[in-house]
Amino acid sequence: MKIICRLASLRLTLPGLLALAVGVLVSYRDVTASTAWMAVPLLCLAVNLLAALIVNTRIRSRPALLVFHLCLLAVVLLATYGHLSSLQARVEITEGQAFNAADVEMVREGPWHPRQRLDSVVFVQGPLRVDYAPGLKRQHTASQLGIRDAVAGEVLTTIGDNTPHIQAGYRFYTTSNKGYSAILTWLGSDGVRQTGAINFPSYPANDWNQTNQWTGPAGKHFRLELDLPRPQSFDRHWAFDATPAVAALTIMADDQRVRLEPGEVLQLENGRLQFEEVRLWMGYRITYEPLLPWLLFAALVGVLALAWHFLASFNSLPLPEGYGHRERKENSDVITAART
Amino acid sequence: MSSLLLAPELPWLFGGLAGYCTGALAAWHGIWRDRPVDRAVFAALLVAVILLATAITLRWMRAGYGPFLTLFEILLSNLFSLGLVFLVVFWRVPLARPGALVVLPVFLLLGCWIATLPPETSQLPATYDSVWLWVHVGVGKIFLGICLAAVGLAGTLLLRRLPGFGNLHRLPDDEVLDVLVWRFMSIAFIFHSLMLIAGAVWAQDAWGHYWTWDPLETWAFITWLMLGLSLHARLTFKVPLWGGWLMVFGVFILAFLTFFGVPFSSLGPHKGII
Ligand code: HEM
Repeated sequence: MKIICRLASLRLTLPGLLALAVGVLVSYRDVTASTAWMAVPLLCLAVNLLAALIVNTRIRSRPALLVFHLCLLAVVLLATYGHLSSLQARVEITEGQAFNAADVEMVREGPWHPRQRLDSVVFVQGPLRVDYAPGLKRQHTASQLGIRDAVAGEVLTTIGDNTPHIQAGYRFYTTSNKGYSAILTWLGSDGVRQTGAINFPSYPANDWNQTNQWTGPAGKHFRLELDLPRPQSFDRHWAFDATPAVAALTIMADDQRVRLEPGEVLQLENGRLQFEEVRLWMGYRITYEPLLPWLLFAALVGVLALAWHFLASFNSLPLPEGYGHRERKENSDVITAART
Repeated sequence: MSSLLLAPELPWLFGGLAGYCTGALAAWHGIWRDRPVDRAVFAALLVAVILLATAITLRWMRAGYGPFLTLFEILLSNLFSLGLVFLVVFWRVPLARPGALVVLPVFLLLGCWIATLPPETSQLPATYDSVWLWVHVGVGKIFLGICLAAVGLAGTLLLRRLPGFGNLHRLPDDEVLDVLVWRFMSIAFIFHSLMLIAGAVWAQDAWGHYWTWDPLETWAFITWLMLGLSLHARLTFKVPLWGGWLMVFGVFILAFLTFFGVPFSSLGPHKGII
């Protein structure tokens, strides 16, 4: 019991809070800094608080203050669990293409993240539109997704920067990363037919460099360049929403350089490559944070409880009616109208 | 440039600043000459707030978006919101009125700062089109306003410990005003917590994660921690009254730098970089 009383001392809370502030600053200045800089002060504060919740009668006898501190503890635990089981990832999807978990590029994956869950996500990329204000300032994004609904069948939903698509706990957000794709069909002499998309660098950020590499089914390397109409002036309202009326694809391999219009075919050694058309692709940010609603709930309940605590303590300790004055003077009010 | 000089909000802005200046002069005159000036200070504050609200409206109509982006806009909207919060405090909590002696000069400092800035407009990023922006900014402004009311009182109390400010001894006792200072800090803590929560909800939808430790989030969290620490310190240790008032100043300075410094010295997403 004695040890709990020591651990519960409010005198430990202050260095704990200071250490947390220092830990936050260290991690902020150096993102590679060990998580221990924040984890250790948080752990110490949690132990300090837990001990106080057991023995400190000042906190236990005030339910609202107790709830506030319990909520603080809950926020730390929920955020830690969320961090360990969360996922941050990216994916690029071309119009008409279905989401494929295998295409997802991980940014950060917590050790407790249930990876196979991502396989259950099913949707198809529909048309998209990104509005720009003069001077290439990105405005609203509207990306349509075809989602299979058990009751209504295939439904179209529109998402944007502030409105994610949520499925199986994953949130899909549109990003500034989007561009053009070339749809190619490989017709092998062995009868194999394969269609796929080659995404070109983000547009309009890289309008000067619409090139990409591709390794064909026969293992041959190609350099692809998309020829778009001359970039228009971006000093006016503009929307990234449709493929240009004229677009051509230049395919380069060895010393060969061939320019294809949509629908044209390039004859190669063991098959034919057909340039079907140009479409748009959208880059998504994916996040998975399973206990988010509970985190919000705990934070809100905590603030409400603390507000309750303050209200109760203000009421139980009203400001003195005839508070003292060092010197009383009649007509001053500072300002004086304060004097009742 | 000439078109900027003719920006329609400027005369109203300078009118509002003149209102604050009048209020500050009245408050100090009252304490120096021992005159009843509460009504005059209240009237000056009221007029200033109305003029600043007009300035914001005119700018809003000109720019097509609310005062959320440039430093000029943020200062303009805070000159209004801090004034409005203090006006309400002045009206509803007579004991807090002596704070005007410090708060109004702070408004004038902000006024000098804004006078050096160009009133150019910018473009609102798509991520700012969210109701959470309003909630976040709204509770943040209430936090800063109430914290400033505490600073006003704490500053006045500190001033009267200095030689040459003998007239301030006519104000209520230290202990009485100190209770009020910490009540304001407690309320400020509630609004700061709400600001962090609303900001996290907004960030989740606007940037895909509720907390990324970007510069603004980091400094806002440090401010929150220091506010919690100052409330604790008073309960745990026998902090002398003046020590507590200095802590109030410390928290306000952190909050001030977070509001007006960090967003303009970093490329965090809060600045709306696309
Ligand atoms: C980030 C962490 C913390 C924050 C922000 C925080 C905040 C607060 C606030 C705002 C109050 C109310 C002060 C008042 O009534 O004026 C309070 C009171 C209190 N806190 Fe904390 N707290 C934190 C951590 C802790 C920890 C770790 C302990 C564990 C010992 C603790 C123990 C207490 C106690 C016992 C009181 C009541 C004191 C009294 O009324 O005499 N707090 N805290």
